[in-house]
Amino acid sequence: MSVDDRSENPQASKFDEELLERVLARAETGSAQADQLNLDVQRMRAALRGVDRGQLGRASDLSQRILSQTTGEDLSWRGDIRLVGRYLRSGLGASPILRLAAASLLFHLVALPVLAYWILAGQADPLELSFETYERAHPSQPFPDQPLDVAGPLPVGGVVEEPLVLDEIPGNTSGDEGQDSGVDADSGDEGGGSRL
Amino acid sequence: MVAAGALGGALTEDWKAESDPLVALGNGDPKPFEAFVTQETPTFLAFFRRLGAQASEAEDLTQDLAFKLYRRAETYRAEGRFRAFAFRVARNLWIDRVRKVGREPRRTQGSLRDDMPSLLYSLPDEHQAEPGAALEQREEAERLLLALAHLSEDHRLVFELGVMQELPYKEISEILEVPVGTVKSRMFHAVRNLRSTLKGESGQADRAPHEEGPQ
Repeated sequence: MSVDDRSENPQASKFDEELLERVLARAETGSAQADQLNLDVQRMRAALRGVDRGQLGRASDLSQRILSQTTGEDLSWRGDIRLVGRYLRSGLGASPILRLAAASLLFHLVALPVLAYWILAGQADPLELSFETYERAHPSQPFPDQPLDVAGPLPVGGVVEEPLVLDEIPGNTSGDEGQDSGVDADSGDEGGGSRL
Repeated sequence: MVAAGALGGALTEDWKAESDPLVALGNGDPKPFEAFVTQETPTFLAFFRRLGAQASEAEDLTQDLAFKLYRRAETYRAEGRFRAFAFRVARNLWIDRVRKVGREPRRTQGSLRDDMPSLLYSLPDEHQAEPGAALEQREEAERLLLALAHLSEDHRLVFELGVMQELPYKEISEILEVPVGTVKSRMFHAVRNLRSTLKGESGQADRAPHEEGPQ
């Protein structure tokens, strides 16, 4: 009776279960049936164990990781840093989106100061002054929007004549004095008024 | 460095009371536990892989197992064999995973090759001179893995503990918390199905013992 064909015979089935138990316990040898069963069991073992050879590298890494988190755990601040580092590495390794976000953050942290320096270094000197000259008909009039075209050097002596305005000069009633002064009451402020 | 002998086979050493890793750990000696982790990590990785876990799942489960054992060191009492205790914890982790994930889809040949490309196609050194024999062995391994995947969880566990881990039936019954008679019956059906695969026949449908017909 073969080992396989036992569905109708409970006694035979019981016998084969016992036989299998003895073969697995290596307590049964000699009979053809037992030898064949033993051979098949050995083939199964060899085939299924051979499949696992490729895992040795992973097993080694895994056992190291386990030990570093159990008996080899460092409870000092260095251990905490290693733990955080391990967490970040596993997170970054697992997610491409996280890697992209980390790279972007690093780029911004490095590039922003450089960009800021470049922009600030290229700006005009804020203390540099420029002068614009305007003409107005009378002090009571506001300065016009457009400045005069001031071309050419300053007058000899570097003196800019400030025109005198008759209205503002107190006690000015003498005709002789007015003749030499060259003041024209109607001339207003010409040529010399300036505003910064 | 992982011991070369621990090629996903049975536990390389029967962890007896005097070298029980958890008893030693509880007494302040971490060396036996470190030796256990270093030597037996491949064993448990292979255990979970053959039960049906993917590579990363098997690593997580093995890691969880080690952490659970480590945390239990303070309250552990060496009432029986450490080996049986470790496999009981492993089996509970596996059952929790199955409950969480639900029944995994049946493996097909394509999914098996996707899942274990490096495993199925890494040639053992002794077959390098016989490429034909290596190919036959790979094909046989593939058929066996598929057949194993089609067994029920109970039959797969019994097969793994009895045939691959070479534990005695009494210990298996303690681990699985079932009578010895149930272990014998499940082992018989598991081995019968896999023997049919070895012979190249289309495997019989995996049926629970109560479906075998009148006895």
